[in-house]
Amino acid sequence: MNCYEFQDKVSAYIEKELTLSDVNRFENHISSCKVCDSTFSSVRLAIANLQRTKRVRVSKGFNDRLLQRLKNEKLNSINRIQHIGSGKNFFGYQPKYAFASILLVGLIIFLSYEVFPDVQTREPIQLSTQRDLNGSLQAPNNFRTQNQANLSVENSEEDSLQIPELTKENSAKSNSRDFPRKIKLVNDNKK
Amino acid sequence: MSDNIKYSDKELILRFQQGDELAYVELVNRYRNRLINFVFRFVGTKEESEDIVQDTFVKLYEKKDYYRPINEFSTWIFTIASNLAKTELRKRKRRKTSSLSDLGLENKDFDVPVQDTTDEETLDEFADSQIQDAIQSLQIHFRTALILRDIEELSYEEISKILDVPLGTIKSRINRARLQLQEKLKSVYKDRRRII
Repeated sequence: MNCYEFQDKVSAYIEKELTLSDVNRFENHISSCKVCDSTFSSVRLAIANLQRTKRVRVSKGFNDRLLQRLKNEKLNSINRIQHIGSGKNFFGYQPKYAFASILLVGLIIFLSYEVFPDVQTREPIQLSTQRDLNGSLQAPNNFRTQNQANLSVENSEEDSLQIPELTKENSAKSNSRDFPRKIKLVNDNKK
Repeated sequence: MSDNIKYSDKELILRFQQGDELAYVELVNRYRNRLINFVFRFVGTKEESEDIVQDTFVKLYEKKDYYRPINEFSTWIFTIASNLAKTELRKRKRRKTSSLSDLGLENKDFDVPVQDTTDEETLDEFADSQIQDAIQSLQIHFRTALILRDIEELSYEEISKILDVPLGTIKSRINRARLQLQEKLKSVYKDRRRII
């Protein structure tokens, strides 16, 4: 056994928890190592002193003070229960505050419907983007074919949900037919 | 409850759970001094220790139904006291009311007894205060385990339950605490020999 092992096992030796072979090794070590022998004696002395220290006791009137505290705690809890059970309570709030809160929440919901337009009637952003994309491929107004002009008028009058289909089909046809001319016109306009 | 000496702790707490308040008083009488001795070693001042012990008994009164007979009553009550003492120490740390000098042996001013009044009792008191300071200077987890084992003389298993720490860790902590304590107390014994 070395000194580190001794330190690990000093309490186990005192508590008689070591095996017989470990006890022999432990005792051999402290008989050969003066430092560990001294440490061992000090540990035993420290334990003995801890056990001998004067025991602290509660002061006089401890029980009376405790009982007084318990009475106070009881009174407080009774007051709390009375307050809750007195009917002046609505889910933990006073009725007037509870009513005011409900009114406020209702008002916020009402205003949010009134102030902001109904989102379902609005044209989806996706559709307008698609129309813009189609429009960007179209020629300027003065060069539009009659078919395209009619279609754009139709588009503005049609229900928004039907527009993408019409736009897609028609613009695809016209685009495939007029594409070389459009490119040319766009280039001319740039110049 | 007049002859309540025959009741075990478990029986008393069960009676108290059924509404017998005399059983509560008996439990207070049984544990008040053990608890204050433990808490005092922990926090170091008697007034605070007494407040903590009172809080412990108030908790016992309010939370009596939380006790389950699978555990020893002593383990349960020491757990409550230990947790309250730790909370108090944390509060104290936050408030920073205790200066660093309270924690160390070196900077503390002791009332060293004058030669005329030095008798065995005074020396014992002096040694007691030195031991108390040595305990206080230990880290909190070493201190708690050491107090419960060497002052309150609880078993390793009980300490393990109270502190909710594995048995092996408790044994290791107690061993290390004892080694640290003997190191700190060496100087005390030297001083004492010098005074004598």
